[in-house]
Amino acid sequence: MRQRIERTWNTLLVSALSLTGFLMFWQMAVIVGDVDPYTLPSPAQVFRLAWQKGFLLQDVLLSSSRVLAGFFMAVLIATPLGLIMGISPRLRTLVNPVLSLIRPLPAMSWIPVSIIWFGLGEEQKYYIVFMGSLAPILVYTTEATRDVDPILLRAARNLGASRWQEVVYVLLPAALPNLLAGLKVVLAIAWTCVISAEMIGTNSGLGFAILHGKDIGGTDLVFLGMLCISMTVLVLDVLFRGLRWLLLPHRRKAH
Amino acid sequence: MGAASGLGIVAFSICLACTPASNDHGLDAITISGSTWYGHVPTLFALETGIFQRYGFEADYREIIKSSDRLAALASGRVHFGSFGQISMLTSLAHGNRSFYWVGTQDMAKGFEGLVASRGYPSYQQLKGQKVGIPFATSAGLTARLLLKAHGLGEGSVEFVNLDPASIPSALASEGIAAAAVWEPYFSQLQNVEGATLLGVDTETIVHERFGTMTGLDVLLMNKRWLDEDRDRAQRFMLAYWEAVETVRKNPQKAVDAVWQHFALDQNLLEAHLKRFTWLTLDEQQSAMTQSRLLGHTDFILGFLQEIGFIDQIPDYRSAIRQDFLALEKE
Repeated sequence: MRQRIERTWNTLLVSALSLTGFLMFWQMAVIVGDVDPYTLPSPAQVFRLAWQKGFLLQDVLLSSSRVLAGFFMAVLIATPLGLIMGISPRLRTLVNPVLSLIRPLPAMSWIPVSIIWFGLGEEQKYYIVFMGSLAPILVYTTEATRDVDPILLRAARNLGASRWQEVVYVLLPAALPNLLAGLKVVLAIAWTCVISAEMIGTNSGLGFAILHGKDIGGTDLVFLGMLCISMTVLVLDVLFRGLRWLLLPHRRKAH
Repeated sequence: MGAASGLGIVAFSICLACTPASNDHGLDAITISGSTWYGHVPTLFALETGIFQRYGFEADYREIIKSSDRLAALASGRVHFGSFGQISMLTSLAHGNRSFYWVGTQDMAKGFEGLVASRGYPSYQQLKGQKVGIPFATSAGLTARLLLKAHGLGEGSVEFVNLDPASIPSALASEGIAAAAVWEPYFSQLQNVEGATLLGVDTETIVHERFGTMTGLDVLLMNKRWLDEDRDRAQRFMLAYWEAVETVRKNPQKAVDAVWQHFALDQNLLEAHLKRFTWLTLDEQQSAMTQSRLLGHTDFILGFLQEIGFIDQIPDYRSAIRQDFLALEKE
């Protein structure tokens, strides 16, 4: 236990040193190179702006809510469908051709039609995140389900488990580690989707802040928007780890 | 992957640095950027009719729609010259961009942008609380704000949404927004949307009333390093450019014949628009750059940009003007 705490502190210390070193190098590069703030603002300038603008908290919250809404809608649809696809070759054969068509499409490509279908309201942003998350979640869930050891299912069947019990008590828990790992990756993808969605037809969110910064020549605002995305994804990452810790008690030791 | 990307960037930078400044024919290389706005017609005309070549330049033309993107390319040094929106120039100056000179203003195009309302919003008052689509930090965006303000709808009375100029007509057609403002050629498309009402144009703003100009000027910017490293070359290039402006002004029909393939427009419409366009020549540059005209106008626009929160402080834009350079051009 003590060793673990020490290891955690060491990791935190090294991370803090690395980050401080990076910021100092950046600040020095701007000062020594006499770089104008349009080309590269200094970290001090970015942090000053962050302070003035309250770390874009409202935009962070708005973008996060858009990401989570679209992402959870995709989880609600893609996870059960992916589970069934994992155990039903017939359904896989049926859905895979459509999935192959949707999967390569970048979220940006949905923007023109989403504006026609949903206008410029919140639904349009949710839709972009939803479409960007749906196919990857479906693929991760299907693969996670297919990776479950068939012996576990056979054992459950031999013990008299029904099909439903098989899915709920064996398949889902066994697929959960891979499924959660996949969802973590998709959550980051969902962020790229919302940033794209917020760059067109909106006046709020981190994507808008970045675009607006670019339009008014405020490179410091562009950097601040980027910084806020990184920080928010970092926080969500920690929350996700907490969720994993809660849902996978048998894996806690490994982490 | 990281190392490979790093090596790629280094290799790309070396390739760019090795790009010759002049080619085998002894012509000076220049990269110019523009878009489908009519203010770029002289550049396109000079390219199509070989004026730049005659003055010793091999010009590479890059189409970049938004002024802010063109400014980024200009700041990078890969684009050397172009026409830009004044609003983008001023906001980027306010944020510390020191990479260019303001070397001229080639036109005074009034009445080419305005505010158009969708079906069901035939008057300004009905726009209260509604969405208005504009390209932020552009002349059309400011025109919309000024027109609304003049009709009692200040900041916060409507919800401005940032839209790409090309997507504005379709956004109005889908009724996702109550009104929109944009410049030509999208302005004509906007007015052609079924049920649309033209609420006002830039000649009805306080800016036009006080200075007789369009809201945001078209400004000619040149990369500072490119000008400073060889003034003769820069002067020679500007002479070529002003010759193109002169010809386009005297003979719009000839200009249309040379450049119309660059515009997704009916040739007659392009001709009609160009005939309404007012071009400023080299001789008019110094008289235009006075406090009662463009300088006063610029001061006013900067004040308004500060009022709406686009800039925190007023930049010293006069230090970016190359009046001496323009004067030398005249000699």
